[in-house]
Amino acid sequence: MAAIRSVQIPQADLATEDRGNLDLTVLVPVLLLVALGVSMVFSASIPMAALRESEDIYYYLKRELLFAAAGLTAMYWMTRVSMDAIRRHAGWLLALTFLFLTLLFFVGVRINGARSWLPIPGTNLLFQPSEMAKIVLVIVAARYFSKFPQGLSSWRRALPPFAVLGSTAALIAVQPDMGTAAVIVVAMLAYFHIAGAKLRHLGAAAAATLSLAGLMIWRNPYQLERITNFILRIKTPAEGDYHTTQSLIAMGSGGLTGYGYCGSIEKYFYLPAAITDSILAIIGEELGFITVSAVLALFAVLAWRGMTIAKNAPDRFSGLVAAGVTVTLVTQALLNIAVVTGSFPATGVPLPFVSYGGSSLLFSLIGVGLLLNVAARQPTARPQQGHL
Amino acid sequence: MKHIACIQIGRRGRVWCVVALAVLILLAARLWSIQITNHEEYRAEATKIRTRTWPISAPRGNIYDRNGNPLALNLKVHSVAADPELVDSPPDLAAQLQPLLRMPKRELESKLAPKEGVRYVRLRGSVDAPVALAVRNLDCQGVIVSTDWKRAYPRQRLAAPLLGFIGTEMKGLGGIEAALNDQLAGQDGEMLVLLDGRLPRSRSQIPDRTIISKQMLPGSSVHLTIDLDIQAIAEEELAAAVQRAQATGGTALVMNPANGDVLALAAYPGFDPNEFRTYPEETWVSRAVVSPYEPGSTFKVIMACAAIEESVMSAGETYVCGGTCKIGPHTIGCAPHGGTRAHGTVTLDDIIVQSCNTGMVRLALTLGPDRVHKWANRFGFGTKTGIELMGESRGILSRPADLSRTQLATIGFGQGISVTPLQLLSAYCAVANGGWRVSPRVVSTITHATGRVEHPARPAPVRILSSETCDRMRDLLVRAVEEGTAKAAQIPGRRLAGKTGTAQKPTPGKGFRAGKYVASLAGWAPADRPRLAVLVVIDEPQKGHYGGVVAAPAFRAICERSLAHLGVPPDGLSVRREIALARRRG
Ligand SMILES: [Zn+2]
Repeated sequence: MAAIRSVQIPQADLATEDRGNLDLTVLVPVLLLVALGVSMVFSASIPMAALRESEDIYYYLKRELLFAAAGLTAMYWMTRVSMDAIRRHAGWLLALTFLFLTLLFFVGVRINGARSWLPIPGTNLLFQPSEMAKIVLVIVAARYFSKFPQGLSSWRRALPPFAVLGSTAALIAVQPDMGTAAVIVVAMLAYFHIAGAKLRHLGAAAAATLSLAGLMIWRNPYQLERITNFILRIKTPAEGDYHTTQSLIAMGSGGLTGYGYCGSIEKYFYLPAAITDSILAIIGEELGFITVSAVLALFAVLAWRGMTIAKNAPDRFSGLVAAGVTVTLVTQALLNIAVVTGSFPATGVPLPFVSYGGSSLLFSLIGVGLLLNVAARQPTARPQQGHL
Repeated sequence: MKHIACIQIGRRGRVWCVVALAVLILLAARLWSIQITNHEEYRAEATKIRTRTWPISAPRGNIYDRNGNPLALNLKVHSVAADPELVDSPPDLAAQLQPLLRMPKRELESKLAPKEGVRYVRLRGSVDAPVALAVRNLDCQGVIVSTDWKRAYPRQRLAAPLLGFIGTEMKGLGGIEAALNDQLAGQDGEMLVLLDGRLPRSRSQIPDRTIISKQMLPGSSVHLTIDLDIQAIAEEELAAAVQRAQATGGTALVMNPANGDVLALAAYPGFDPNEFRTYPEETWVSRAVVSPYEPGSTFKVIMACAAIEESVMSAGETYVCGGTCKIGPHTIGCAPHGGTRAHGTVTLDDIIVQSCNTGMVRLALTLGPDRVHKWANRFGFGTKTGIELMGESRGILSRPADLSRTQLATIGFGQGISVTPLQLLSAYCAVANGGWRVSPRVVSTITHATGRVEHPARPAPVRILSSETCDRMRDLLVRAVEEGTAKAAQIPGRRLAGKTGTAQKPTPGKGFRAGKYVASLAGWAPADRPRLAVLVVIDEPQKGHYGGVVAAPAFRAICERSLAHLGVPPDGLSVRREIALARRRG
């Protein structure tokens, strides 16, 4: 099956050390999602862009196209880089991530209450270190866990990855960016399990996270209110969480086929974060259930295919990277969809590939690049049943 | 080693993968319930939040006179109001608005101060367009600038009772405005507007999403038969006459005898429809249409026509007037106010020219109740004329069976019967135009918004008198002006026909003893080729009470000035008048 869905890259285009196939089962869904994202960012951003001083309705489209170009370039580059080099530089990458996360305390730009952005000198662009942290944590953990092919047996050995995860999540949580912190913790716990952590390690980490979360909620009534609102919404949708209500109205009023491209009304300042975290609701309003369920299906394909690539990886490090990237992307998508459909309290998590935002798109595509890199080096000729 | 390790990634990976797929399926089910199962509810909810129905107000039709001069128009007005609940700081806003609205800052501040439950405070009623634009450009929270139509009557008091006025919600409340409200009002349209989701203050329409759900239809314009200049003349002269006589009021009516077009319909005291509330309610109506009165001697013309047509008194027959006559317990005198002037031996013609009451009593009694009623009816008394105005009175004309001998006798000289000035002048029109009863009307054409011009149907004229009778009556009424009771109405170079009337005003319970009179003069000009039929009625004059004294100058002035306005050349001195003048010179 995999062989049918793969094409042979002509020999002349291959880098010296790379050989193998371009995995279309990963690439095509990703490109479809990026294309959908770019067109929906344009539609959803028209009202906002019209309010800008320049009144340039293409303002957000131009930027998103720039991000997509940068992301696709980075993705292509990642398919050609040696996995071994990545493994060797994991330490530096982690140090850089911590540096950036720490810099936020001093030069971070605050948007919507969270100091999550670093200004890029000489441009009007912002960089979000927490997006970088997601992919770096995957690489760092893959390097650590690949040393223990039989899994982590002792608490002492389990401590370092959990300590790195905990400190990264804490740095992100104090921005405060609860959404990203939650995504990282959930995705990494699942990933650590795949990588060989014991269930009791996960249980302990989950307990620690939950008690910390409880403490934060207790200290910060705003978070508590958010959660109560969410619970109360089930009874009175109109009075509860405005964000969730608008999101549901957007999707619900769209119906099976939606109002048509650019037909959204919720984007006219009803739905918060229409081009970023809530973009799926606008997709639901304009293009209907058909398109939203197609988005869900594309992420299902990515989840399944990503795990298959991880399973068939030529070495343990590559396999762990592939699994980590897949888990991170799919967890984000699930959380985003859960929020947009009102199944989870509103948290700021972008939908990978689709939501507006340079850092998210860049690092998601870098992750896909790594996935494609691993896929290209897997022994495709080997029959599937040979694995078990 | 590699083999074993990869199996572990694969096995646990598959577990998590299945978990993810299960969550995706749950989310898809949730999606189905939102987008498919509850789609209608969410769409209804969405419509409720965003959609507003806004009216498109139709401009009211204009009212013009017969020559296209505007009498009622719409002005575009701007008003500035505020929602005190949305105002952050009343002093700051007052300081910003003060130079624009030119209002005391303190007054603005107190209006802007928040009050319980008050969401709309009018700051300034009508401001001109630049000021409205400047206020809008301030872009202040809580300030409402709105545009609307305001009815304006550019000639103020002119023809006010005829035009009527507009109440709240642009509904006509009197005169033509009320009578033709349906045509003038047009039909308001409706638009469905989609509002965006910003805060109330900056909420605005989503571009290109407004749907006109109901087309607005502008009101039709109405052209009246009124001639603005004649109306002005009539009002001016009426006012002068009422003031001269220190009367309580009066009405003047000018019609085209050929077709019944009302050329002027004046009432005194009038009112300004722009500020109708500051005037008493009784000034709001057209007395000539809604208020019947006892016409007095002006009614003798109708009785005389009946007598001629019924041949109750032949050409050579005479009657001896003794000054008074007794009908039952009542004594009727020729000089109605207690004198005993006797007219002696008179013919039918003399009875008219000299306004002999006892002679008219004799004619009325001879005609009898059936024929009096028949002729009154034929002239249009006792029924509405059908003019396009609200509240028209039919007057009071008793049925033949109910006519007592006394009443029959008094009807002969125009008492004991109530007519409206419009009914009376319409009857005169029939005499003036050679015997055709015409239906008075005040609406000439209605121009619809589509451009179609509607000519309202009018009943065909009905012949009620022979032309011989009319010629004879005309000569008699010319004599009445030149040698009879209406001498004060004479115009050098013009032949007029006219009849005075001086009626005692009945007061409930007291009969005719109150000493209140209605002085009037009805007639037409020029006598031979009538262009105008004119009636002047002066109510309760204090200085003099004879129609020939109180009403005649106004009648004369209205005829003279209106004929000049219409460009009717003078007749030259009449033969009869030349003889009369020669005789006077000796
Ligand atoms: Zn007499």
